[in-house]
Amino acid sequence: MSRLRKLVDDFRNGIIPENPLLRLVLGMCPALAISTAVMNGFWMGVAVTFVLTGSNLLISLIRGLIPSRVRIPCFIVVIATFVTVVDLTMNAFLPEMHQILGIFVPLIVVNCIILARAETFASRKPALNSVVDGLGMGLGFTLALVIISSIREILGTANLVVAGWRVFGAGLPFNPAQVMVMPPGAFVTLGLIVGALNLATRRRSRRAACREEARS
Amino acid sequence: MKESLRLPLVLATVCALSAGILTLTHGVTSELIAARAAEALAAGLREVLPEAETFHDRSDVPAIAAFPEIGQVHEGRRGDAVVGVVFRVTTAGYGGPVEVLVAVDATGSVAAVRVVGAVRETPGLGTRITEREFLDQFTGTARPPLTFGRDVQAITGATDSSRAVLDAVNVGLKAHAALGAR
Repeated sequence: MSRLRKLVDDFRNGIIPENPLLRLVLGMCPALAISTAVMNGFWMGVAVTFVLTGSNLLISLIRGLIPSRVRIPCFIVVIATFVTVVDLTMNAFLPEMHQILGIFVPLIVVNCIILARAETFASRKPALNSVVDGLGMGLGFTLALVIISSIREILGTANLVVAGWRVFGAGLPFNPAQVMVMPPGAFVTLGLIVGALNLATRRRSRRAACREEARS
Repeated sequence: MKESLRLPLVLATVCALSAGILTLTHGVTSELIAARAAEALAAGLREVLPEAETFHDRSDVPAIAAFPEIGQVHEGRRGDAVVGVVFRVTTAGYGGPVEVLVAVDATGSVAAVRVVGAVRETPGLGTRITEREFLDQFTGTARPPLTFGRDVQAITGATDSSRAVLDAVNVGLKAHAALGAR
């Protein structure tokens, strides 16, 4: 039972408590650059989730065989392998998305979320926990990207295109603020979300502290 | 001594494992990737020059070498008659390269223009260069260099993206003239 609880905790860890984008503020470069449309954000998240889960699993499985002095090059080779697999697969099955994401797919290799999870989690924990950690972190990253990119797309183009379908038909009745789909919009959106999340957590922990005090 | 042997051995094993996985993936995807690219090109050619029955790759014609922006040249024929030439031109947009198919008919005027491949222009502004309303302005134009304001209207707020298409059409028209002068 406690092992199951641990797995659930490992999974939930990446979604809110240690959300890679909103709490750890890792992987900023692809997140800021491609979060201009919700589909871009979604597929980037899927690509990162696949790489993260795959590399976490493989690194956890071979963790006993890797001497610590060459662990970083080994991790990088494993990560680069999964990134190339994603790159080729996307090119074959999602050619248009592959072209839009462009250089940011190969750049997942140097995304610090993935190396950070390999170093701090997968190289120390059993395979199952590592897979669950990869899925949780990936889901957290995807959710954060989808939220940021939906906000930017809606405010910046007055519409939302999901899998080719225009959610708001002819568009929302306001003048789109083009700055939102340009680089400054990424910083503004991300900053406000991180701020709101920090405020919410601080309120919650303060309330929890108050309750503790009242009890004692 | 033992350590100095073990470290490279481990690294080599990991790399070999990686190479194996990549070979497998490449084997599965390479044909699909090539097939999709060919299919997309064929569909694009049919769209810009529907009169043509067959297309012949003429990309290695010497006259084309003077136009580095041109990636491919396809001659559209109906029976034995050449009905037009399609140029695949890459020009610089605002967010990166823009790929344009420019079809020039036998009389030397533009038959159709399409933006193909990924459009990395600013969403909502630069991405409007793919809209027919903008592209159809080029149909029927003939004498390069075309300019904004006189021959076609640029998209407001997307001058650089619009210019990429304009440049591509100009290159296509000039290349067509060069082909004829041959």
